[in-house]
Amino acid sequence: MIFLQVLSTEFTKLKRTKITWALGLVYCIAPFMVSLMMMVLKEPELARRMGLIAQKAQIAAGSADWPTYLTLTALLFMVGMIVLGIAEAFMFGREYAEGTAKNMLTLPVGRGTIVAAKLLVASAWFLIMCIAVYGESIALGFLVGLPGFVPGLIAKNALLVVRLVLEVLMLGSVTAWIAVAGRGYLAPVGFTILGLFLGDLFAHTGWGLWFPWSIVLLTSGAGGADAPIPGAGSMIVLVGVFLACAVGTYLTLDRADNTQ
Amino acid sequence: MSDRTSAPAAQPAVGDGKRDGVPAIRTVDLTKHYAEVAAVDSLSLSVRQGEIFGFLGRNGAGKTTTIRMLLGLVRPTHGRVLLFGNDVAAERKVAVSPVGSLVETAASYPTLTVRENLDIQRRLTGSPKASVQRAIDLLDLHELAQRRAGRLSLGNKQRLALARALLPAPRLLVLDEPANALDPAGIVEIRRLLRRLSDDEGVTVFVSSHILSEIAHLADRIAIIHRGRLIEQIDATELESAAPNKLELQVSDADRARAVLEAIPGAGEISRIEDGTLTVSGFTIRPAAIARAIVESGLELDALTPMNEDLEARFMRLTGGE
Repeated sequence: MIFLQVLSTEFTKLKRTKITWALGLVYCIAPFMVSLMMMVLKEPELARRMGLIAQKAQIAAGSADWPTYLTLTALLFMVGMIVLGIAEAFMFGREYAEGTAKNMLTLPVGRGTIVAAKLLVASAWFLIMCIAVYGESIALGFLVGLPGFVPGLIAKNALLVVRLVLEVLMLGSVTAWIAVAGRGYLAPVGFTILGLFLGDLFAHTGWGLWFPWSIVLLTSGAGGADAPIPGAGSMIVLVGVFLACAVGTYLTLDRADNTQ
Repeated sequence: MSDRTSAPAAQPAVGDGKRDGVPAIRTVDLTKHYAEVAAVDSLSLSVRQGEIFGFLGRNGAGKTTTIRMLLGLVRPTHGRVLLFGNDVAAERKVAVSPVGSLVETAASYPTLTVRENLDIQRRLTGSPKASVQRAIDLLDLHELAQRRAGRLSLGNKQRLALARALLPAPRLLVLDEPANALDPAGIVEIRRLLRRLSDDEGVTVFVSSHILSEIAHLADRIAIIHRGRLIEQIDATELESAAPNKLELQVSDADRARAVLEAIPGAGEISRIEDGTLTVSGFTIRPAAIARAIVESGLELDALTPMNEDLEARFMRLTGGE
C-alpha cells in the first residue's frame, strides 16, 4: 500500500516538472526530423523549391524507403539513453538540488521503496515517450508516402525497438546511482553524455559486446553492417549492471550520511 | 528538580518519560566522528514526553549533526538514539513514524503548490486528508495554498516547512532553527503554536536555535552543547528562580564603597564601576550584609538590585564567550 502511495507522489512530482515535459517534447520532435530527411530524399526538387535544402546541395544519405526509414527510426531509441538518463538524473538528483532529500529520508518509508518507485516512474515515463515517438514515426512514414512497405517490416522493426528500449531501461539505474552519490543532477547528466561517447568508442573495439553503452549502440545498428550483434551474454551484462546499480543506489541512500 | 549536568565525560541519561515512563528522545553515548573531528561526543540526553526541550549551541557545536542522528539521516559512529523506546538504527521506520521534523533550511518542491507539497507529505505519512487543511489552518497558509512553493517568500517557505512537520500529527517535533526567516510576529506566533501543541496535545518539542531569547521564552528544559559535548542541562524554572549571583549598587561614592567591600571577606569581586554604580559578583555573604557594611561606613546607598544570570550570560560563560 505504501509503495502505491510513494509511486503516486513520484508521479505527481514528475507531471508537475517542466524539465520532463520539455524533454518529452524535444524527443517527440525527433521523428519529424527523420521523416523530413526522408521527404528530402524522396522529393529533392520539391525540397529545393520549398527551401528545405540549398539549390546546389548534394544529398547522399541513402534511399527514401521504409527499410531505410525504420533503420533511422531505431536510432532514435538508442538516443533514448540520453533522454532516460536526464529523466533519471532529475528524478533522483532534484531531491538534493532542491534540498528535499532530508524530507524524503526522514519519512517512515523504506529507502528501497523510494528507489524502486523512482526507477519505476522514470521507466514508465520513458516507455510512454517511446510509444508516442514510435507511433508518431510510423504515422509520419505513411504521411510522407515512402515506398517499399511490406506488412512484416514494421513488426520486425517493432521487436528491435522493444529490445532497444529494454536495453536502455537497464542503464537507468546507473544514472540514478550517480545522482544519489553525486547529490545533484549535473554529475549524472554529464555521465550520460560520456556514456554515449564511450559506447561509440567501445563499439568499434572488441569490447563492444560487453560494454553496456556499446551494447545498445550495436543493437540499434549504429555500429554499421559489419558490427557484431549482441547476444545473451550482452543481455546478462545489462541486467547485471541494472541490478548492481539499483542495489548501489539503495545502499548509498540508506547507508551514507545525508548531510545535505 | 535540577537536571543540571556539568561537563560530563559519558553522562548517564537524565530525566524520565512523563506519560508512560518512556522518554520521547533518549540518546546514549551518542558520538559522531568525521575523520579525526568529533562533531558530537558522548552525548547522553533524555527528553520527557510532552516537554519543550531547547537545544543550544554555537555554530558548529554539533546541534544539527545531533538532530540528523535523531532522525536517522546520519549514522552515529558510536552510541544509540531511541525515540519513544524505538531504536532509530535498528527500526528506523517505526522510530520516526511519530516524528515531524524541520532540519536546517526549509525545503519544498518548487513547482508544486503549497497544498500539493503538503498532500505529498500526507500521503507518505499515511495521514488523513483533513490533516492538510489542519496544517494550513495552524500555519495560516490559506491565502498561499494554491501558490507554487518556489514563489513563496523565505518566511512563508519556513511556514510551509513547519506545516509539513505537523502533518503526521506528530508526538514529537524535532525542529532545527524554526524561527529562521520569520518576522517578529511570526516568531511569536510559532512560539505560541508550539506551546499550545505541547500543553494541549502533549506533543514533545525538541527545538534548536541560535536565538537565546526564543529558547528562554519557550523551553521547559534547556541543554547547552559545546564542541560536541553536553555541558549543561537545566530546567527553565531553575534559571528563573536561581539565587541572584550579581548585585548592582548605586552609592554616593563608588570608589570608597569599593574600598569598603574589598575589606569584607565574602563580599565578592567588584566587576564594574560606572556612573556611581558598582556591580558585585561572586559574593558568599548575604546581600543584606553588603548593604549594611556600605551604610555603616557612612556612604549613602541609593539602590541595591539583585540580578540573576540570564540565559545569554550563562550561555556565554559556559561556551567561553565574553
